[in-house]
Amino acid sequence: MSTPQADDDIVNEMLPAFIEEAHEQSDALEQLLLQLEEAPDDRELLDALFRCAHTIKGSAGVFGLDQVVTFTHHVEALLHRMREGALALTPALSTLLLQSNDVIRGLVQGVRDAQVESPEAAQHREALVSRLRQATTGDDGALTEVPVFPAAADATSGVSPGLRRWHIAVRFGQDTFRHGIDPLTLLNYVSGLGDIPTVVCDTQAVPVLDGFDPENCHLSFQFSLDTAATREEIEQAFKFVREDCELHIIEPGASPKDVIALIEAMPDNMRLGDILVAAGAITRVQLTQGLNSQSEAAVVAGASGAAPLLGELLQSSAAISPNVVAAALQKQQRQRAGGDDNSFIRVHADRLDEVINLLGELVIAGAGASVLAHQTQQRALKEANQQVTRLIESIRNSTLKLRMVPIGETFSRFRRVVRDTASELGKDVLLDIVGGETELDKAMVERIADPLMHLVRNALDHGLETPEQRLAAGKTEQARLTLSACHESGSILIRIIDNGRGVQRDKVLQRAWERNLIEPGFTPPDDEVLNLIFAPGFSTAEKVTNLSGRGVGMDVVRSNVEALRGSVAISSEAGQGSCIDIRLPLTLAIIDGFLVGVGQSKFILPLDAVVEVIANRATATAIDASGRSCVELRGQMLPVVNLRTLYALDSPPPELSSVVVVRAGARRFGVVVDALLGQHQTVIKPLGLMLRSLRGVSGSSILGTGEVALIFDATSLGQLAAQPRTVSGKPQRSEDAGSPITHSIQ
Amino acid sequence: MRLARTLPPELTVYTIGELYPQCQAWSHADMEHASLRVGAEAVAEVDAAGVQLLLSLSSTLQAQRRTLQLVTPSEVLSTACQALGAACLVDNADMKGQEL
Repeated sequence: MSTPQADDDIVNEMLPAFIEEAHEQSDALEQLLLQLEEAPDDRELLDALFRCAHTIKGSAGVFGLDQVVTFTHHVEALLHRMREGALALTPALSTLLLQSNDVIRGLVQGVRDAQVESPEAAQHREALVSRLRQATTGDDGALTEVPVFPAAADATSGVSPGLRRWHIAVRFGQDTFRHGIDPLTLLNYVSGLGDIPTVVCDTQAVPVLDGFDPENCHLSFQFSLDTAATREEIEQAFKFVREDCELHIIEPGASPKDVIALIEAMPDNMRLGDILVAAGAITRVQLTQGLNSQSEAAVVAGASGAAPLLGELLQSSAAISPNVVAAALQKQQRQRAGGDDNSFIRVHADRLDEVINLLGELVIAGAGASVLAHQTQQRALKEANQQVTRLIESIRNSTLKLRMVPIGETFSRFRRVVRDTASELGKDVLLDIVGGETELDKAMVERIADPLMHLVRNALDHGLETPEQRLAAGKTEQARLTLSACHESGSILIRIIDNGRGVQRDKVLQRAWERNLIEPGFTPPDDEVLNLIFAPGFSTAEKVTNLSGRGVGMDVVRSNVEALRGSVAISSEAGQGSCIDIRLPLTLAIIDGFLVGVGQSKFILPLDAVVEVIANRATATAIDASGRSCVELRGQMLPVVNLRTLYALDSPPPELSSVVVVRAGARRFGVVVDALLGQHQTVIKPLGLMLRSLRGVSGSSILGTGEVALIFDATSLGQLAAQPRTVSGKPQRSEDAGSPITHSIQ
Repeated sequence: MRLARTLPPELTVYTIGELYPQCQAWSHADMEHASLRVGAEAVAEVDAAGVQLLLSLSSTLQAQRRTLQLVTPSEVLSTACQALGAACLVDNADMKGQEL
């Protein structure tokens, strides 16, 4: 027997999970709507859309969030009419549903932030309700035909004031009749406690006549009971049959968690449908319908086609919570000896971060132990330590994978942005998403979303033309914007490609001169001109629009990307379009590094960027003040950068030095070092304030000896190596790199 | 009107022992007909065991791709079927009671 305090505790405990789930459902709803726009006849999309709305409504009802329930009810009603075929998805209808989804999201957000809805928001919501009603042809009762989850999900709908809807499942034992108990009398007695709006008998459980003992009871029922009675009073009604039946009473406001708990308590060796029926999640009739649909679909799919899963069909037709189906499936899977267990668990991000942090400490401590083991010169100890190191590396790789998420979810968010923004600008734009399955660190995904958003808006606003402009330029009426992602050289490469008008170099130059970004009249090389758009405060727009000109310039995009140890580059062809490349490391936590030494200082290059090494060659003497020179590598000149000179390290150069050949994008360059110290698991630590202005360096790491090593960013180091001495009359920033840092490193 | 097969006035756990063999016989009769018509007008007393027997008869007929059609079921029987969630037994009832 639960107390009100216990109920409150459960609600408070589960509310964050509801909010998270509601947000996920809302996101899914938006994506499904946008997909449905492109495939309006796709019944599965429509069904999935309906399920999202129904799940939000049902879960919100469990928590007594009446505003969410009421509003989503109107959305659900409209979707139901669409499922009936009475309405087709038009652009206007889609916009209405997208706006309604925004309201749902806002209401859920309000619950999370414990904020009262503003009068403006309430007015907007009411206006949308009115439009939803109109779109549903004003038939407010349309939803009465919607199949509902008879148990907990819709606990509040259709119940008279003062009453609460309970769900009761009772399975009588075989000897019930022999003990003089009549289930009919019992049900009549229970109905005296209130009203039984629905009762379903599990008729399939009654055997056929052959071999049937009519005095054996095979009856089981699921029914709703609208009553003011307490759980004790309801249980009292079953007092005389408690020994002869299995009784499950699900209280009003019960969450899917309660239903799941019920499923867990059931006996083994039950089939999925039976589990759901017994839990009261579906009726036997709904199960039969689901099985029939499955059989029909399997026939249509043919021998080679994949038959739809019963759980999915039931989610669609009976609109039950996916979590309940998942619980039933898990139970069924556990019953199968040796069955695969591919289920997912939800882990709090903080716990995962804690594991990653501890892993970082383990890697550093492991490196320290490795150094000590090496110093002892004891073979057995060294071998044992190598084994530990290998295990740490395996743990590292497996743990970091836990944080990897596909970038497609972030890309998908832009569908709505592209749709709405293009519509606002009178442009016809097709968004193409490629490589959405590419994975990268979750923290990276979250932090790259804003820069990407700006670039997408920028492409829509400035890059792509209106249909008229495109036709006049001899292009297709519909513009294309492509978001792609792939892994390349241990990094992730994100591309934003548009087939618009391209960057107009003359306008860029003009603006750069006006803003004094370069000396007026000076014309830098083409790629330098393009890079000017990343200069602070730069804007080529004739007027600042409310889309991309929000005071966040491309310079902020670049600094955000660089803060993630990434790089951004642009290429553009006038009249053909532009391509912006964002390169990011796969993770922000731990990388495989290549350790090198210069004097007493240690540096780490990302191992993925290292192509080859040229060991023990005569140290070049013809280097400029910034440490740059060239070496010949297989008949080709390779630009190299000498770290001792570049960073003004205070140590004499050795007679022989080595060159590490590094790749950064399409560019190759060499780094002159004194010593090659080999592969090193590198735990990335942020740079201190003093070192943040250093070019070419992206982080620091603690070595096993306790020394600090700086981690290079291959791209910006490559820029330093290849940079001409002067580009314009303005001084270049390479001297930033020339700060003496020896003392800092030591 | 008179039907060849009719349910007794009492359809309870006390009478189903006698009715059961009849139901078995009925399930094998008139196999050429898609539905088995059983008079139910006389039922004045019913309990869950009686309804369960009718459900078993109905299931048996369904396995033969046939249906059970109750003819003019009494109000007592109809109410019991509704209360037990077995309205399917009376949903397709013949309320006019014409002879087969």
